[in-house]
Amino acid sequence: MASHGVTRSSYAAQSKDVAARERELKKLTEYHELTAEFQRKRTEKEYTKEALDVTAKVLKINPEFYTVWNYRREILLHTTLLPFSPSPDGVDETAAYGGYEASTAGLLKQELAFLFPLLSSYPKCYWIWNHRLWALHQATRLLSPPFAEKFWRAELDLVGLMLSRDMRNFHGWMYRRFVVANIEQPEKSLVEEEFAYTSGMVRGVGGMTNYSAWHQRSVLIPRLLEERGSGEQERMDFLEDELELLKRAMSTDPDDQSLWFYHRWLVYANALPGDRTAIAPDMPVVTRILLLVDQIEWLKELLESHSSCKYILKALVSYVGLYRTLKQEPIPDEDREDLDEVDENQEQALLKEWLDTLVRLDPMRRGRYMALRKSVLIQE
Amino acid sequence: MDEFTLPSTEWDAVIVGTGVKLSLLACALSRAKLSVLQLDPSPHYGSNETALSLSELEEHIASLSSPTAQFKLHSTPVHRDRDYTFTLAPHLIYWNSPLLEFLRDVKMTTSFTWLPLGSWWVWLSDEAVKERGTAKSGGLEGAMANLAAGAVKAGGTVRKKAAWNKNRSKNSAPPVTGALEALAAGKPADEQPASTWGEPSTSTSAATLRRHGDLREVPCTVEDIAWSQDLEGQDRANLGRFLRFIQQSASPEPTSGESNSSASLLAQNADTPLTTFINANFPLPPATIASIHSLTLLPTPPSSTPLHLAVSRLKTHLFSLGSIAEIRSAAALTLSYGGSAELCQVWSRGAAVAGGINILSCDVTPEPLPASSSDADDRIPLKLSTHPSTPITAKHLIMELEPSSWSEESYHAIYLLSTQLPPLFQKKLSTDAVSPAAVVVTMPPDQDAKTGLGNSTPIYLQIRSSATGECARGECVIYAVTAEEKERALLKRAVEMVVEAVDPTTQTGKGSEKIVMSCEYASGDLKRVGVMKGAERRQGELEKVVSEEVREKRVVKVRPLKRDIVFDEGTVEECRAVYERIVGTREGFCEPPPEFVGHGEEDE
Repeated sequence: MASHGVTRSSYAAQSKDVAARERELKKLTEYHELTAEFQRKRTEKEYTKEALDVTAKVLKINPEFYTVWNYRREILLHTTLLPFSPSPDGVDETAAYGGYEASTAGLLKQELAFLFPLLSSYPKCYWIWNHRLWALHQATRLLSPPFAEKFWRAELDLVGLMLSRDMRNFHGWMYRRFVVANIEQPEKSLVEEEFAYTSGMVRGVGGMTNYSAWHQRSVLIPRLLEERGSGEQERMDFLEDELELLKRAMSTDPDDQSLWFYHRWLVYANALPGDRTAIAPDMPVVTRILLLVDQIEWLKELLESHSSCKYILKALVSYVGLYRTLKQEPIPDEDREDLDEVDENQEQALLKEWLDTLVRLDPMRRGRYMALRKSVLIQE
Repeated sequence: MDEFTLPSTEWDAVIVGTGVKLSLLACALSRAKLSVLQLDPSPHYGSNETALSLSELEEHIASLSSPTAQFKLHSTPVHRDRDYTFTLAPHLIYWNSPLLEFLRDVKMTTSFTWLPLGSWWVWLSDEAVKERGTAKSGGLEGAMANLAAGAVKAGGTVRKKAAWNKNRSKNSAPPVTGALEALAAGKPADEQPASTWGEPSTSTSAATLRRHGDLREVPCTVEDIAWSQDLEGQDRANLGRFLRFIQQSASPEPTSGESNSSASLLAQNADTPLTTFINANFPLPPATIASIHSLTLLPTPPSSTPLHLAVSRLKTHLFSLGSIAEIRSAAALTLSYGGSAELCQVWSRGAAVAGGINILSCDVTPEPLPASSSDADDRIPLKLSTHPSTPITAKHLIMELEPSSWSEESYHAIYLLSTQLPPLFQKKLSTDAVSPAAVVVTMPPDQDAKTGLGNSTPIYLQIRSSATGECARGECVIYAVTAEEKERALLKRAVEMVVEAVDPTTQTGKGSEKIVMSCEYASGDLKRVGVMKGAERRQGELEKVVSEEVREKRVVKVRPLKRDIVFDEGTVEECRAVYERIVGTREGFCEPPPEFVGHGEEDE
């Protein structure tokens, strides 16, 4: 099995060269000696600077050795990362705390600096990120809130940098959520900033197809609207804007799957009553139906220019099915007037046509479309 | 100058000239352990790709001895003379280009200071933008069925308020602007009518493509196209499809059912003019076609640019976008301190470090050996002007083709401005960490752009800021080029128009006041100076002194570097082929000597 394009056999081939083998053996011996030393010290619960240095040496070679990270944390907690204790002889506590903060912050910065080159070489090693979060949590634990926040803010910048290098890295996005949550801890909210960040992301080069950015957006929107105190009309306007945004994106590139996923959420969450993530949760049923019809009509137009795009066809089939379901909901008579008459036969025929086309375009998923056919078509 | 002693009289390669290609060959052949003597009659490196200070530029233009080559200083520049760097080769280098790939391979990227390009800008008047051209008709003849189906709707449908949201609040912006406001980084959007190319935007509205008077930012990504306020319904869809066509026609593997048809559509229409092809398959208004064409930097108008050339350039541009993490909106880079002149400097130096010898202010003439000396075999006997009493022989003689074989002419101008045109150099995306150092402005053919300029082929302006180190802060340098002789007089007017549109301190009609220095020359003028001056003479002597058979084997000529804005893509391959011919293999071309392989690779 190839790993990142480097196969096992190519590893083996690399080792074949005699001089290379000798170098490897030397490295292995050194490593074994180091880990033996680590084991010794740990068994003896040695918490000293030498022990710390040994952990640094091991981790630079093998950051995946998580026991060594554990040991490193133990050492720090026993030696330098201690909580503030005011001195008993009445020395000015504020000044003393100031000194404590400065030196502790310095230590934590050093720890983060130690991690940074490791991150560059091993950006996907969980234990490095874990230790980083630990160091940041120490800042929250030991330092005053404003001081601690500086650490977290700097971390947010770092995440921004990493996401700009690999904007679809879900580790990056998850980490971003952690960091943001920690900054928000006391009473702050970063939701407007974060929402603007996703806007910038999807606007940027390659961003329209960034599923992670759209997902983040969907997670933020409910909180955003709540914090803005948006009323029902404002929420409906927001939803309309978001759908318009998507419409432009999808008509530019209807093959972009990320957009279809997001669209599906927007439509389903707001068409089906009772969805917690709905943007406009209090819309009456008739409005939901009109919304759905609006989207269906637009998709029919889009289909005319892209007759073999299976995403459009799938969406149409789902949404028409949803429409049929919604119409079963109780609707006040005076609202019914707003709904157009629908020729059920024509609708049925269209559904059949779309499903037939899907089977033709995508024969591998024939079974799926046949199942869909059963659930969506009115049984004759 | 005292004559220093040459280490040898027998050379594996004598290279006549220090231009880009010859410098690269000097470096490659030296590194391959051949004995290399590189010389140039000029006192500076670079030949026709050289960099010059202000007074050197004046001298150079004077030495061209051409009535149409001019240099004029209109007012006092800020800097001292030597602090300016003007170049005859301000090339753009695409991220996805053979040159950059080569430099990465031989670990040479750190020898240069790389600067990013900003957006492409195009001049389109409101009148031009309103023209629909054939985009309103349903002209789909010849399109393949699964690329374009159904009736094409006319662009320009204004979005009505959604029936489900009848009570949309009067205070909120109309749907289009509202949605786009959400895209801007949390800043309040200005009132913008959601109609055709919007009103001139201010710097706070980050969502739409920017505009300064009639100078408009060119959409080049799907994101630009999707959320531009300047494109209407079907135009947006067609432009998106055209972009996908370019990407898919290039990909070797079929990614979807469409990609094979993209490749065959391209093959069937390889020589079709771009405008004709787009009108038949992806109907777009002439202004949009001009806008897309500006990304190609080709000297012909879209109505006569062959499709395969346009697609090749567009493909390079599109695949280069998004590659630079610090400034994802940049597709290309340029070199500080004189563009490609730096390549000449670094490579010639590389040749010397690897054991070669460079001699400037030295001309060379093929001359028969004195009767007393041994037979030259099939080596080429030469006399150096710096060492007249020490004849040498070369196993290979490498030079540029003589000017009589030069085919394409282009007309160039260089302007030093007392303004830095700040709006053009602002970051495009909120996620860009650095600002661009150079931008490209296109004046499309008048019939497409209705600029009033009167040009029938595109005029390109490359504007370089002081970030390049080539001029003072508060100034900028504009390199203008056209392929049409009769349009060279329009270059200055084009520059004035841009200054008037963009510079907040310049009023209409006063653009010329910002021009500190202007200079003009034709590519053909360059044959009268430097190494090219003696080219015909040398060739004549060569034919007298050396047999045709020996000439075939031992004399290698490289084509002159193209004078395009884009760095000549064929350069590395041509040099590699010459290398192969001389050394016997393609392997090891410019491979760094082991002791110089160092610290990792960092671009920029």
